[in-house]
Amino acid sequence: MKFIFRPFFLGLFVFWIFFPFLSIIIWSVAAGWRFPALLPEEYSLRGYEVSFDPNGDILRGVITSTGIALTVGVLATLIGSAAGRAIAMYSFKMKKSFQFLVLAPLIVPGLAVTMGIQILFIKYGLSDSIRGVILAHLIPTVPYVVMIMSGTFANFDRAYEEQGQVLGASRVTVMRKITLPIILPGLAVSFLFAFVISWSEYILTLLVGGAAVKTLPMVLFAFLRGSDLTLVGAASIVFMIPPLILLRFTSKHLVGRSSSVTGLGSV
Amino acid sequence: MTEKSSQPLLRFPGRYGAKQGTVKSRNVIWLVLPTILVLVTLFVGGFLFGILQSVGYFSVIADKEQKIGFDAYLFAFQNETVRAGIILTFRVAFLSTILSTVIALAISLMISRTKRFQSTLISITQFNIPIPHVVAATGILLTFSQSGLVSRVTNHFGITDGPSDFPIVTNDPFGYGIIMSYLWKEIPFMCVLILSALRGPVTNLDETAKTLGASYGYRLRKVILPYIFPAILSGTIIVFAFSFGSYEVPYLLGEPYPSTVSVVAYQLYTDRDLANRPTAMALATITSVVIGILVYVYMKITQQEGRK
Repeated sequence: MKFIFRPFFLGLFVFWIFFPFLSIIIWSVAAGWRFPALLPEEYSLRGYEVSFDPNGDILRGVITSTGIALTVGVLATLIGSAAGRAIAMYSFKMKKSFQFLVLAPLIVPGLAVTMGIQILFIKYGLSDSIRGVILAHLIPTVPYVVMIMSGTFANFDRAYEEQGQVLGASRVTVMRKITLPIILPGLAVSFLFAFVISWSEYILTLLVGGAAVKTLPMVLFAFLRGSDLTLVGAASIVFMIPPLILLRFTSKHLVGRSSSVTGLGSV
Repeated sequence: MTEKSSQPLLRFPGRYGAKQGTVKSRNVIWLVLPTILVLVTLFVGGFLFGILQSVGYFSVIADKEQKIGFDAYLFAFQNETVRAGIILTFRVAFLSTILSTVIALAISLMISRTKRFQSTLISITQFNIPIPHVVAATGILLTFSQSGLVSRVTNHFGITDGPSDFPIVTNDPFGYGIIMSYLWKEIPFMCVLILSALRGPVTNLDETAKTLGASYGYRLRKVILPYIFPAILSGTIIVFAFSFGSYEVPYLLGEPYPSTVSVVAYQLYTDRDLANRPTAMALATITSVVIGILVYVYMKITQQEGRK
């Protein structure tokens, strides 16, 4: 009995993770799939043809989303890793208040805050623009980067940098040759989180971007309101491939002996 | 707790031997300034402007006499849709948090005890971390709706008789669909947090306790659980706050009525009747404050537990 217990539950868990993908994958290649049928009567690549139509909503959504998420990923990683270093390695006035400021956006819903700030965005011409959407996406992403990087810098020994300086290296050389290689896994995970949060964001984009900024989540939502489930399936597949590719390159840093996620464990 | 794999070659006592996190530096302002600028203007600014709008400032209605007061908060609580939404929101947030924590803890401990396929299982826990919530909701919808994949399978084997015989678990009044979607995303998220804590220095402690003859049950209570407790704590806070205030999933997998507070707030905000905007702002403010209070109380309670 005891031997069956663990494999059974772990198997159930694996099944639970992959099962919802199954319906998405089948729908994406189904030409018609009426109710009682277990599998589609006919298959077609129509969903993917529509997805990769150069003038179609999906491909344009991919381009808009990629541009926004890359920018947000880079900006949030730059801004947040500096603060992560400050929290992990220095003591300063009002440090507790600063940590509170960083944690608060992880807890307060982005919708609540963005509804409040929209009036200012309209006033300063940031509403209905990609710049405005990028700014709004910094609210949920920067705190994640700060948490991840403060975990990374907590394991960072300042003496390595100081030895470099003692041996006559310039600040830029120390940064490039010593600091960056050590914190690179943390930076990669930070970028993954910031990119994925921005890539997936729907409601902040809708509030700030309105109808002008059509990211991929907006396109998928529009399909979900319609009844063409083949398009829903194909758009969902296109939607999840870039984050999965990013995960492929960063996964070894997610769980490991010097995991970068431990920073999130100190929320 | 920091784990140092190797010590630097040179160590100067005093100035160089200072403990991490205690060094003072004037330049630290340049490290924190960008984050402060972003979060104070956008986050604190948004929060304060929300409160101001909820009490009647910056009214969008071209009205010469602005009414300043707490009417919007009264309206919010008198609104039947809001009341139904509050119950649903609490149910969804509590059930999602408790279930994902318990299941993720069990799964993580099982994975850590498994020798075969361990690295494969760890990869699987990471697999849906980067999947967007909208896609998660879509997957749950296509799988568990009355004409979804599960319904087709049960129909095929004669367990149910047609779509209408299949229980309504998506777009349902209880919130099963919303909870399933959150569980699908948050169990793996909690697993990654717990597994990375389990892979820390606790492995050595556990090994030592094992050598000294402690049973697994004893090691679990005295060594492993206390060590991964902080990771579980942070995970529950993030999951609770997220499932309480998120919009996409309850919009796609919920019903028009009752709907979660976030969905109601957005509907009021975009309502054609602009008089509803302050009510939307009041709801947003209440939501933020309620989550803040709950997290604060939770942290106070668990801190006392941690001291025992």
